[in-house]
Amino acid sequence: MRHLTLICFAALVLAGCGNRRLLLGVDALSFTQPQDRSMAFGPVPALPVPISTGELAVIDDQHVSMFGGVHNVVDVESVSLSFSADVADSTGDGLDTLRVYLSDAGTNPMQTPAVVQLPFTLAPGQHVPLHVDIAGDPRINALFTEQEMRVTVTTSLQGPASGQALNGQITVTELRAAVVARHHTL
Amino acid sequence: MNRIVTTLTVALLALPALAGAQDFSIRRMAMGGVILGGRQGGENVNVAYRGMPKPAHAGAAVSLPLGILQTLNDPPTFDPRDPEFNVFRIANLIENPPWNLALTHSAAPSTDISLDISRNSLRMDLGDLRDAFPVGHVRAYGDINGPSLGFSIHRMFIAAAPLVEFENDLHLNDALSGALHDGDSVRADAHYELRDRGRAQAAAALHVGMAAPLLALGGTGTGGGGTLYGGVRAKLLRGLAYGEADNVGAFDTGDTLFGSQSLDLHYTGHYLDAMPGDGGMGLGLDAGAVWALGPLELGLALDDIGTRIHWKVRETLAYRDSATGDLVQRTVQEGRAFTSSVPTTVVSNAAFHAGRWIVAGDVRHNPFATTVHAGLERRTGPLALRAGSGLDAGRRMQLSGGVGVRMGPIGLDLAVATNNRNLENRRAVELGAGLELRH
Repeated sequence: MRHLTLICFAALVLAGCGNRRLLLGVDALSFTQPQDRSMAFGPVPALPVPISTGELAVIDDQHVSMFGGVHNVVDVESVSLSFSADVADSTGDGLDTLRVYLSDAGTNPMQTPAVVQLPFTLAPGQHVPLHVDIAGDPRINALFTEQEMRVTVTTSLQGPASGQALNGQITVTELRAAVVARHHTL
Repeated sequence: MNRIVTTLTVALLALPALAGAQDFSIRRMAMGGVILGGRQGGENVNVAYRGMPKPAHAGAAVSLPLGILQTLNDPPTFDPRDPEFNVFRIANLIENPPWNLALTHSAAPSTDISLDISRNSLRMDLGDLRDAFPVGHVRAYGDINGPSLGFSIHRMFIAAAPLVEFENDLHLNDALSGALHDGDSVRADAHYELRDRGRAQAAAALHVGMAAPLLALGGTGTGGGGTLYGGVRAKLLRGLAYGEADNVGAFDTGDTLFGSQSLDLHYTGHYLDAMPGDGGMGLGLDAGAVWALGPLELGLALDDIGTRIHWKVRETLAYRDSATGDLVQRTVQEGRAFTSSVPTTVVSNAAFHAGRWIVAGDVRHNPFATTVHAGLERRTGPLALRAGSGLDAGRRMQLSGGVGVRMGPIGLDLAVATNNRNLENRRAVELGAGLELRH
């Protein structure tokens, strides 16, 4: 019976809809403040044996409020997640790995496996546009039936073996979910 | 469980009222649903017609349930686990019981629903379902005071008949209507609200009344001078089922649609329900007059003057617990004394019978709806051509037409009429067929 009022709302438009689907587009990035979507990095010094900085938060545990109770009305058939970022390398070579973590309201995102893991190479003066689409992850499907979820995006940098230190900026430009749901089969 | 039984009982009893706009007289259906005048089926809405002489060769007419065969050929599924389950199709069947043959395919809403959500934006595209959401108030009303079964002694009569009444008032405020119907984005700092009040009641009625010519000028009957007919009908009622629901659903948006607080919906409901064992007695009165002046008839009736029914209802409150988010239902009182009323309906009509022509019109008004009907009939030998139009309770113009063929004691009537009796408010066309057996 939880979230029955929400059921009433959703049922109004969904219940018993035959082949009717609910197409839910969620711009998760919009739920973060603009200043929280970007992070300057560096200097990561050149070392003969490069060492990773460890994971640094670009988006740090942001809570995303959503309609709850959807699971009482619909079965989430699929969730596809689009993630985009722009990495500007101002100086130095390097390696980086971006990770996206999503979790339910009661779990620290960093305590769950990353849903996106994007390794890439950095070169001085270059922009690296990153984009990845993910679909078919049952864990992500389940998160989109919750009333709230948490998002963390991290970067893990590794400087050059020689030359200038690595400096730059990472900006997350898209974190969007497309949810396809159907009427709940009782 | 008891509530479900009550709801179903009231819904079933209310079906004839819901289908009130569906005419079971094919002749009247072809003529826009108008009161024909004479003693041709108008007695239920104007009791004074009982005082008029029955027309020669009066017969019995039956409407053929062509639509049932059509529905049985492609029945809806009532199993929610079935992928073909579609509650909108079932709702359309309730709103428009399949008695007549549907000539237009009323496809239940089937397009996908899209919701785009961002922190400060929510836009809904409900596809072909958007027309199901009203702009402003949508009121529905239906009542039925018959058919009656009884006998007459001179000018008096006694009869038993059902009384069924259904009314519903659905209102979305401008903000919600815009979001659901017009596809507007949900705005920040706005109040969105839906209110729905529905009621259905059913009772068994014992009619005791009298109808007679009151005043004759230059003769009696429709063929002579003017005659004023009057009638009254007292109704002794026994309540069978009652259900009432007053629901309010609302949500308020803050300066950010989806900020740190989740968007909560608020809901309150107030229910009254009673089963046959909780029904008490009631009284009601119908009164009418018809002025017959040669071929012209003018009628005026007041139905359900002060009609009241006493009940012992169960009163229930429903609300959303703000702490848990759960819906809470709490019975406030069992066996609460309650008196329901049936709104008074004013019916005025005029009919002109001249040779082979009948031209008729009527207006029916009550607090929930005003309907207008007009129709004409032209007889040529065994053939009758009919046409009509009217304004339905939604103030939409409806059109109709039909033919009748008489072959000795048997007559066949066909009628085609438009209606908007579906969730999508789409114009539909139906075919009715009936047989008339004459003495």
